[in-house]
Amino acid sequence: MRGKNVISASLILVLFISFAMVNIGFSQGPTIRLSPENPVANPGETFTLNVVVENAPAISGWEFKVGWDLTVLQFPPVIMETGFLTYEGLFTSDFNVFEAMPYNYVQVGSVLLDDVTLYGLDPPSGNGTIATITFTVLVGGTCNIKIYDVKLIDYYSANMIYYLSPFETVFSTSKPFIDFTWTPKNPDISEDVTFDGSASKSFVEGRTIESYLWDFGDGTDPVEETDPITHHSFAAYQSTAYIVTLTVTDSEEETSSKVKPLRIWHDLGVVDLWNDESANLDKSSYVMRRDFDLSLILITISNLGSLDETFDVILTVTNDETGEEGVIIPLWDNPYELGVGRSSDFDLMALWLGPVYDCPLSAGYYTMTAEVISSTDLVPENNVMSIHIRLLGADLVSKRITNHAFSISIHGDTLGLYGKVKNTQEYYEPTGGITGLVHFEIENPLGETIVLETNSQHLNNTEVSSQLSTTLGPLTSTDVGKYYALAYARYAADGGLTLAEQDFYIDYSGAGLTISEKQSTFSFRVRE
Amino acid sequence: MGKNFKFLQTSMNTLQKNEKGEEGKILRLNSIALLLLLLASILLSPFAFVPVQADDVYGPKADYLHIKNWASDIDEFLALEGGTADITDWPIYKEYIDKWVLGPDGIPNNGDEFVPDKITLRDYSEFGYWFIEVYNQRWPTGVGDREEDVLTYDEDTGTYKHYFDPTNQWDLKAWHFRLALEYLMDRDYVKTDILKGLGYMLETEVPPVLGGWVDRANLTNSWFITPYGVKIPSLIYSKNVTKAQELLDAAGFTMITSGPNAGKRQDPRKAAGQALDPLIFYLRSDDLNRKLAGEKLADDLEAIGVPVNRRVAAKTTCFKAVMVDYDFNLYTAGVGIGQDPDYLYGAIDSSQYWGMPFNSPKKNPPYNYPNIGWSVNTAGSAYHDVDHYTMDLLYLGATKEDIVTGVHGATYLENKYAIHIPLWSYASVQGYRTGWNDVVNQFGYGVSAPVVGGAIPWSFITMSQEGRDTINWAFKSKAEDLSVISAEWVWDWNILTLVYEMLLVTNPYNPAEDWPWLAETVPTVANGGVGTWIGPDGEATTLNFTLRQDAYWHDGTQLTPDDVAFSIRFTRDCGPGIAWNYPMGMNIDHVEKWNYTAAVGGDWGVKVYFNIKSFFALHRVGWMPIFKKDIWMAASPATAEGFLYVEGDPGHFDGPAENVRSFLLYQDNWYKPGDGKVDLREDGSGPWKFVECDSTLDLYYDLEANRNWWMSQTELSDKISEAFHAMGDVNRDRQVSTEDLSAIAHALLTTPSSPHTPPGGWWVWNSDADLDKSNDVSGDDLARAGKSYGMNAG
Repeated sequence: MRGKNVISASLILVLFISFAMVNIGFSQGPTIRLSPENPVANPGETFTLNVVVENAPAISGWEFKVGWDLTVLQFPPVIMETGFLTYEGLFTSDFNVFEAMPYNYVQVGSVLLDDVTLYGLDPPSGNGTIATITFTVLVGGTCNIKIYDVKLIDYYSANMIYYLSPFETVFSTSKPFIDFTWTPKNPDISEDVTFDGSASKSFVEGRTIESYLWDFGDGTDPVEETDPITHHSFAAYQSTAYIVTLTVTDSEEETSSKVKPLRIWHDLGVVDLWNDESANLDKSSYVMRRDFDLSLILITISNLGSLDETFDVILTVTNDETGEEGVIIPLWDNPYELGVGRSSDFDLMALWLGPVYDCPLSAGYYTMTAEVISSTDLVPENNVMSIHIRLLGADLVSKRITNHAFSISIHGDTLGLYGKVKNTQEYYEPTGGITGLVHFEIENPLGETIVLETNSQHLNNTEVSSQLSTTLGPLTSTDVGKYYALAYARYAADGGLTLAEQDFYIDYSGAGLTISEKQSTFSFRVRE
Repeated sequence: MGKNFKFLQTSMNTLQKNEKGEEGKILRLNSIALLLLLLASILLSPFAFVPVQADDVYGPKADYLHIKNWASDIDEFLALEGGTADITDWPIYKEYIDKWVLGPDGIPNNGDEFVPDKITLRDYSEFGYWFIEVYNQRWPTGVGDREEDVLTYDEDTGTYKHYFDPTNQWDLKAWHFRLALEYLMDRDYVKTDILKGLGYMLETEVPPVLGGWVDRANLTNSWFITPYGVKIPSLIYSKNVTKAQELLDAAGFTMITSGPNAGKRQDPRKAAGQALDPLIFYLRSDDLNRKLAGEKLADDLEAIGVPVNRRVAAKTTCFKAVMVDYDFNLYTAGVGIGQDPDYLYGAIDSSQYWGMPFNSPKKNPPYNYPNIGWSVNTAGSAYHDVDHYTMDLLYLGATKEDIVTGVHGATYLENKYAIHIPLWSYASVQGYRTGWNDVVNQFGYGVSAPVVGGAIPWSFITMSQEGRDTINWAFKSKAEDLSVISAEWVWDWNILTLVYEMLLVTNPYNPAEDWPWLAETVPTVANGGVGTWIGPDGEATTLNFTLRQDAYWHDGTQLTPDDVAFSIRFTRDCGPGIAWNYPMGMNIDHVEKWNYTAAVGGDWGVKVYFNIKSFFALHRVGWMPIFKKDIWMAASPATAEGFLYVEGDPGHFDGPAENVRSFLLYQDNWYKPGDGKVDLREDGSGPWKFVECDSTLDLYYDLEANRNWWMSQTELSDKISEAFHAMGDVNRDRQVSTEDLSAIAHALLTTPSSPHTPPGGWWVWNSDADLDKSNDVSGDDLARAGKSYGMNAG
């Protein structure tokens, strides 16, 4: 029983398949193809493909994408509509091309704008060429040309009715494709370099590459080989690249050539030296207050040669007159490594320590120098960069005031206080304002209210208008921490002030709080 | 527009919020509406169901936006590839496109492809361009850094600069040198070997998206003979090494044939046998394409004996060297631009050069202390005729004819004097992780490129994915200056544009169309919003903006005409070098606030009076970011860095205006006298609220959705969808294809009142095919769809 059923089932299956095959044979669906297949042309030449549709039903529009290797065939190709939809120009169509260069394709579509049945004609259908595509060949080689996402639009409903299978053909040049590589990728002089041209080939059936002619661009005689691999070493460094040329010849004497630059050179350059405390944008005259805590230094070094480099970076800061040296803490380790074409970017940073780290410096002019120490570098001119920094004198700058310098009492309890005048610019306009910032720290909240007021502000011992009123409190446990209070003074050049160096200082007092001592001064000059 | 280089940005988005209390009100109203609708549906039809949006949400569809700075283009591409990033900010390079389209093995359709299942790619032609910045105040690319060079004091900027002098041999020789650069630039190599085809090579400083403004025929056919007798046959340049050498030789940059400098070119300002100092050429280590393009030019310069000091460095170092220190000759620069061609004013007008020549012997104050800071990064044209076109016609132009003449003249002189060396605009591709819906592929800016002008980063308002509440956005570079006043880098504005809003924005799919944003309507002559008055110098433009009343600041207070008037005045009064958008406001005479009893339902707004008649006035005001008056006035006297602004027409600063630059979005430690503090995170009215970032701005930036924004997600989705539909997407499948064109073709020549033309044919009225809403389907609709053919919504 089981065997009989199998035979019956098989018979039914065979009959079904036969019927289906007959049915397909009688009603084959539409297809699309490119003609001619497997086109051949050479660099600089053009060739044209026909986009052929077959067994199309009645359609009023079509669309397809065509993709290829843009390095072999130029983008965009010239695409023309034929008369398939428009009956050789009897009617109007709307033909559009969208160049999707990033994705290596062009999308093309056309729709008929006239209802041809009104003129007693049958809608476009059947077989024919819907468009032509003309390519220009860029280089020797091969690539697939693929037509896909093919849509046919129903003549009557305007809807897409067919999404056809893609079609692909292979283009190739009769001239050989050529390419070559070398190892190591970044060779040094006197190093054996292996050149490999084995990627070169002919795409014409039966042809082979017969010879490889190498010109290394260094004045040595060209070398002709039958083997795609050869060896060479370069004797001298050269700031510009050696131009290496390979010419291949196939068995039908057709040739192709390709050149590539090969540079062998050591060059490290200090690109930038940067001090974040600079108040002046001019690199030649940085200005710093001498009471800085620490200053961040950024050095940028570029590898401008063709070889990976290992080298030392030295950073110094020295008083121009006395030779006194600042304390620099590099945040990198020597020796430092930098690959070809790379920049150190933000990797080479250092700290310059100030008085708070017991590293005071005399007022005066300093030179900060970053230097590359390399035994291989061939361009020493760009291995050193310096910037000049003026440290302002101690009597002209605000100081960090330690707790013992000022004693502020509120009902017998002591608050710690730092007084600091913050200036952001060295020069001021003839009329303007100056702000002072008092920074103090509350250590013991007392449930009290603190009022800070400016008693007076002075410019060169001349009292000027002032404003300051800061109220804090009642203080709670959340008020422990640092606070700021502001002093602001207006001044005018015609108010009796001389256009010269001025001192600015602030006295504070408040309820239960007295500061009678001059806290700090700083110097500025009124712009002339 | 926008006034500067490296990357400029002058636009802002606008979005808005409802106060929290209002949200409940909306829900209650919707609940009542639901009951009524249910009742109506029961009464009218037992089968009718009317969807309601009782739980519609305001603000972005995602809750959080986490931005990470990958500090490298390649690293951000890899982050997208690995799924760590959802969306990138930078054009993707060809090798990554191919890798993702074909898979790592380079063979299509074998299952290892990233596209489309993991990554979605979308392309666009960018509003932006890349060029060689030529510093023409420094020898030999310009004149100005030598003892004998004549410098002219510029009262506006308090700085000195050298203007082109056609009788000065050094100016003429430097001009020859720059022309030689034009002929050495190998754009074909850049296109094929560096960009791998993904770029449009530029012939002028106007990219292809604005190419209609350029008179290419005139540039092609124009020729001249240089002062030293070299014929320049066309102002469209292509690589010609022989011509470059001829120009150098003619101007005295001759090749030294003996001695220690043999093989290098003579510096004509030095004794015989002394070579040119190496050109200082900054190359961006963090942008491979720019680095390679610069290296190619450097190679070609050295090959003809011009020594080059290559300085390969990341963005911030280049920024300092090029835009602060002016310590350069050449730099591979890039800018993002808006939709109007007046950006050329910012690009090459001499007023935009404020810096001091590096190495000037006149170093002492005030010569080397430009009081407006660092925000100029272009060398300017240094030639007054350029200013006639860029300022008088292009920037101040009253008519379209003025603008056309301005662009034609500016591009002519720019090419003739080789002010910059234009390179390319990207045929760009950007990507996002597949699975995110409703991403917007904005015309000229793509899915997430930096926006300028009236554009805003739509994708971050619209994109969503089920199960995801956070968008991870990858940055290529760090933000530098999160100040709505002074920021000028694209990464700053990427963030700021989500936080702050403008009066008008641009339709994301149609840059020719303005949308009202914080304004209720777009002012036009027809609606009375655009007019004239007799200003101090004669007839001038007025703009009357009626403002929304449902817009709120991030601190919950209402955005009022007072805020808008303040923003306009403050931007204007900050002046150049402080306010990035200053050029947008510099010709505003005064601003009036008006309020027709807004509290009881009347309108309110501002009327802006220009002192010129300006073609671009609408965008100058409409694209200005709006910030909150109370916050900025509180900041004014609040700290040691206070600036003491006194509002008025004009207003003024009693303190240093430079201090405005100190108030940044991410700093919350600004105290004012008393117990308050100024927190700029409460500023802005946009769809995203700034939350925090790392203290150095190096690593990350976090934003959260503003759920009190004034536009609902439904309204926004409808608006965006309808905008793309209007571009040609008849069937609303988010792409414009032959199917859409076919639908239009089948409805041609029909109207609602004449639905069949002729009867019995296939021309049947289809309202979806009436793209321009003109009540007929015509060739206009067909042309509109044809122009959009191949476009994808996002």
